[in-house]
Amino acid sequence: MTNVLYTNPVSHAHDTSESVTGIVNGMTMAMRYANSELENVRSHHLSICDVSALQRLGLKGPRAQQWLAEQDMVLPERANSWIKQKNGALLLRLGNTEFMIEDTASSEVCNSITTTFTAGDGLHPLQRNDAAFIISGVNVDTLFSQVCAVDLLSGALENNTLIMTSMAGVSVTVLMQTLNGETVYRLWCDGSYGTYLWQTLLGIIEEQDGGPVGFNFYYEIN
Amino acid sequence: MTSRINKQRNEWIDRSKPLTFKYEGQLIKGYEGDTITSALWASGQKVLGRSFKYHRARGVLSFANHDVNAMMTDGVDTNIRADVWPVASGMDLLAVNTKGGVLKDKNKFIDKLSPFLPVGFYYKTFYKPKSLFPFWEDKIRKAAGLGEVNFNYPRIIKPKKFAHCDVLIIGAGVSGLSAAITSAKHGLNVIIVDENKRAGGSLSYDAAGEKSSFDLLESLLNQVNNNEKINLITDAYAGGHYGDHLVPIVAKDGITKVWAKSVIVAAGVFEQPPVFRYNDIPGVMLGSAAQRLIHRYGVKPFNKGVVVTANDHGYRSALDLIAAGVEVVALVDMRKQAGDQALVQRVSDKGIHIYQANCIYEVVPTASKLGVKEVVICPYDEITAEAKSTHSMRVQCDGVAMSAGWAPAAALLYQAGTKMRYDNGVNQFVPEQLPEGVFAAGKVNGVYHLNARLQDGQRAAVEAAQFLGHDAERITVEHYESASPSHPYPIVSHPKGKNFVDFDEDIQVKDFINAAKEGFDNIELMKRFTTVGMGPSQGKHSNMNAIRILARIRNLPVEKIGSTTARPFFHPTPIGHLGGRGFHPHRHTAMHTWHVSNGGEMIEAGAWQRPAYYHNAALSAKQCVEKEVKAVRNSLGMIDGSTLGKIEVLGTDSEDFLNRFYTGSFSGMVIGESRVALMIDETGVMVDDGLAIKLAEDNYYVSTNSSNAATVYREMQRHVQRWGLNVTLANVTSSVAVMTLAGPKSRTVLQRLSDCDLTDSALANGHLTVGTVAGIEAKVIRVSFVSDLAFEIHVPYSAGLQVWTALMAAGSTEGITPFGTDAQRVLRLEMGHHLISHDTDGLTNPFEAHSGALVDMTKPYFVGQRSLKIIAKKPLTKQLVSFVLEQGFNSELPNECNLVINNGLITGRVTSIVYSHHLERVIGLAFVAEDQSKIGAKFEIRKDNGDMVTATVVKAPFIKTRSKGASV
Repeated sequence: MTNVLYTNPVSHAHDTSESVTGIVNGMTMAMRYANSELENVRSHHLSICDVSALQRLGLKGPRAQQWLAEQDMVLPERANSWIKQKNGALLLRLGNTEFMIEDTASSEVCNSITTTFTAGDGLHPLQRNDAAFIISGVNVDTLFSQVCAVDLLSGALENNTLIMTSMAGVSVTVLMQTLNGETVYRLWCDGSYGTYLWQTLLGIIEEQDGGPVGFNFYYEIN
Repeated sequence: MTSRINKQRNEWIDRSKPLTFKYEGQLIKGYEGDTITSALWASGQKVLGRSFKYHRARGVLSFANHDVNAMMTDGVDTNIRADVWPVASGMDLLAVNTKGGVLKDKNKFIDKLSPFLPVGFYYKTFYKPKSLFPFWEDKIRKAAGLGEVNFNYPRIIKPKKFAHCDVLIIGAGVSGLSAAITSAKHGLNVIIVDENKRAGGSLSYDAAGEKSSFDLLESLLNQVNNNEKINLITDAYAGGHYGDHLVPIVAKDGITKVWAKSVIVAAGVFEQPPVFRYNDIPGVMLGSAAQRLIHRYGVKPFNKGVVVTANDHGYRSALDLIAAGVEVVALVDMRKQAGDQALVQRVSDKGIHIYQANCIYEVVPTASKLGVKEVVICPYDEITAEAKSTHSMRVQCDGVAMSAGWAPAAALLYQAGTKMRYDNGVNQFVPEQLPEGVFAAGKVNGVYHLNARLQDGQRAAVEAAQFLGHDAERITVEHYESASPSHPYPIVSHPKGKNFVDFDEDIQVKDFINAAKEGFDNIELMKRFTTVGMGPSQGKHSNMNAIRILARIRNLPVEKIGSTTARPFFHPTPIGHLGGRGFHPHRHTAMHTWHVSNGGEMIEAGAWQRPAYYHNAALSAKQCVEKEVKAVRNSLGMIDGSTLGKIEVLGTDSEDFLNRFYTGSFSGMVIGESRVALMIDETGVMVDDGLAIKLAEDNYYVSTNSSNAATVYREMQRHVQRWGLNVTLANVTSSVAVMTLAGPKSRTVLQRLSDCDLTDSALANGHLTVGTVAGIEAKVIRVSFVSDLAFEIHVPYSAGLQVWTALMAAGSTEGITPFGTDAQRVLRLEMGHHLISHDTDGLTNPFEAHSGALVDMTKPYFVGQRSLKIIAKKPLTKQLVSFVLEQGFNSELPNECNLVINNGLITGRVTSIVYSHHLERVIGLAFVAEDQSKIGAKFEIRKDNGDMVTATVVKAPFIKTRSKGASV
């Protein structure tokens, strides 16, 4: 394998932004958009952060649940729910037999379990190309009310529920988690829609006096 | 001269904030909180607009948000409803639909022509000669209409929002407010919406000279405003009711789509005018309009007025007028007997003469016809609806307040599917059977007494709570005896007409009679012939009277006539609101930024953005495409094919699944081999095609057309479940970037960066190998869609750009040229490939498109097989053939979809056609009749200009390939 610089699915949007960029997992990322004070204000008011570079692994097939359990993963008991692993990685159960693992910036679950992986016979890895965002702020309702027909803020996302719905015409997976002590909303969509969704959400966020925050706001990379 | 009176207890204007604006060139003073209408009326402006058809002067009618004769233009904005829109400093208003100003409108002469312009006149007069219709249409459109559309109107984004609640209450009058308070007590989250700037409904204006209604309103609003579970939205209207209780709330800044678990309609009623000659002269208005002017805006409706009524409400209006300082010179009651004697006594005590069983026979306008001079009062028989015009008296006045009854604001109830019945007790349509989760309360429910309306709101709230699973004790609504709030037939005939029923469209009583005589005696037919209820107010003040008139013409009870359909939206709604922000999702491939940076002319291909071609400053667009085609034919080109649908079929039953899902056989394949995967539907129609490549015994990699990936994947999922197979599906369309390196130099260049063996012996056409390209793990497939020698390279999306740029660099010495979809279109046609959905349509089966070889009828089953067995027994009626035009054809090319004509009959159509520079020939595909499909057969194509062009059927492919001979 040569030294590869991977393409961020949101890169076309970031190319025109005035962000400080960096490399995360081989992918160019917007690490910072403003000074920490302003990003802090934004995150409390209304903000969006691109975290597409986090490592992800998809697993599908009738043997997926059993295999994950054998890897000492804590499994969500029901479809459309998620659970946080000890090291911070998220395990999303997208269906009875479909899972997605997402590492934090420092965890290595995807890489480590891939080494023990034998595909076939009811266990199939999936190539993923997600655009992934963190939405935060007390005014998140002003954003969601404009892009999503589902009421995400009246308890629907509690008890580690994840919801697959549509935002601004794009299929997304949404969950609510506590990150760095703050309640945030996580969004994943098909990466080919990444630039569109980023620009659409950011446009509305900026109308509401919010703005983007960089990857470093949530995950400090050394 | 000002008609502004002393500050009213409940007024909506802020007298500390005066402002000025212009109306028809005159400077007008008003206050913040005024509507345009109230400010104009207060300043003495009584002509607020001209009517739609006859250009008659019009003033205030209902002042209830549907006075469509008072519409204004302000700069780029037009059709501003003056009775609703807040006045603002600096406005420069002109009444719409006038020529030369509202007072001296040059089109007012049309009123004099009205005897010659009965309903149906246009239908009968201007339909022939046909050639003159555009001339008349232009004249009619200019003479009648609303404001002129400004095509330079700026795009102002009005975002749409979603909101959710347990119960949505439509109407914040007494019933709605009491329903909200009771709902909240039962723990329900409430949204209550009212179209008026402030809540309260009739409590805010119908005082009958007293203050008790204001006290009640204050108490209710205090409870509502201090309750966290109630969200009161004013100055916004519920536009319609859609399935699952979706109700769009239209506010000035946009639409909020409310998903409600239940809906309470407490929308109240519209006051209905009695019908008499010249009931439209400025100064003649509904009683409730006069009350609104007084209590909400502190404006005296007129100085010396007559009240005409056919119910008790007229007495209440009279008391409010007197309290506002109006000299009420007479109260004319069309009924023999008034209802509430206490009210009668109060009016009488004020010294007002009451003319019982009388009517206003006609209003006498001033010389200018811009105001009221006097009224003619006659005895009236309310049973026969005849006025005794031989016994008349004249009363001088400058205004008339009229009351005759009410029509329910039941549009949303109808839209929700409510079955209504006509209640003879209240002379009104009321809900008989409500749909699940929908409740009605208050006047719209036929409940009029104030205490009963309070209780009815509570009852509806309790029923909504019970519907949502809450424990709630039933509430009984007390019955209060009273006279009917609506008169069954408040119509006064007049031989000279101009007794208006519909003020939007200038429709008089005689128009209904004439329509019925011509056979349009069904309410829906009558509506369309007369246009009653088809104006901007959608019949809010006219439908009920129209129904009553038709019932009398046909000698039927009102309930037998029924009502017309009430469609959304409830009020005229700006297109910008309906459009909203406008979401247009689009997809980018991994190489998108490269395409944009390198001159790609990006077009939409489904949701994807793709380069049609790459700009070259020295070349035209057509030349750019030619250059790209030439590069592929002579050397090397590369196209981004990431949009190709890609689905992994995994599991032990994968082979079985493919054999069932597609028409061909997928048995006996070796690993790396591909076969064409043709998908048809149950009727045998071609739906999609791609390649199915065997990666392992239990793993196939299937491609689909770019726009079909999601559809095919959904169908696959459905069938996997239906058949119960051990198959796992994964749509990896956007996870995998694809580029196709095509042309004679493609192998040489790709080999430089790949460890795959790309020789003919190692990688035959249609086979796949796995290795690396530019250091990235890749699947490489030998293909021949655009060129005899070409390779599809499939890599992870995130590495797509890396591989693309590496290949561009590696091929630079060979003159590698990126090409777009325009060149691809030419290239694939030269190769003789058809495109499903482009060269086929929703009726094409495989036998008609030379795809019979892709169908294995010997298989026990596949989707659509049963239909194909039937089709195979019938003779073919059309064939998709390849054709060329004559050598040297140099006229304008036929277009796709131009017809194939044989002896004057249509036998087919062109599906694809291009000029091939490589072949120096026009080539294409077309459907022709079976007997025109033989190689060498000639057929005729009719071009857009009617010229006929001869084409010759040839064998595909058009160019020489390694495996097949060329036809050209």
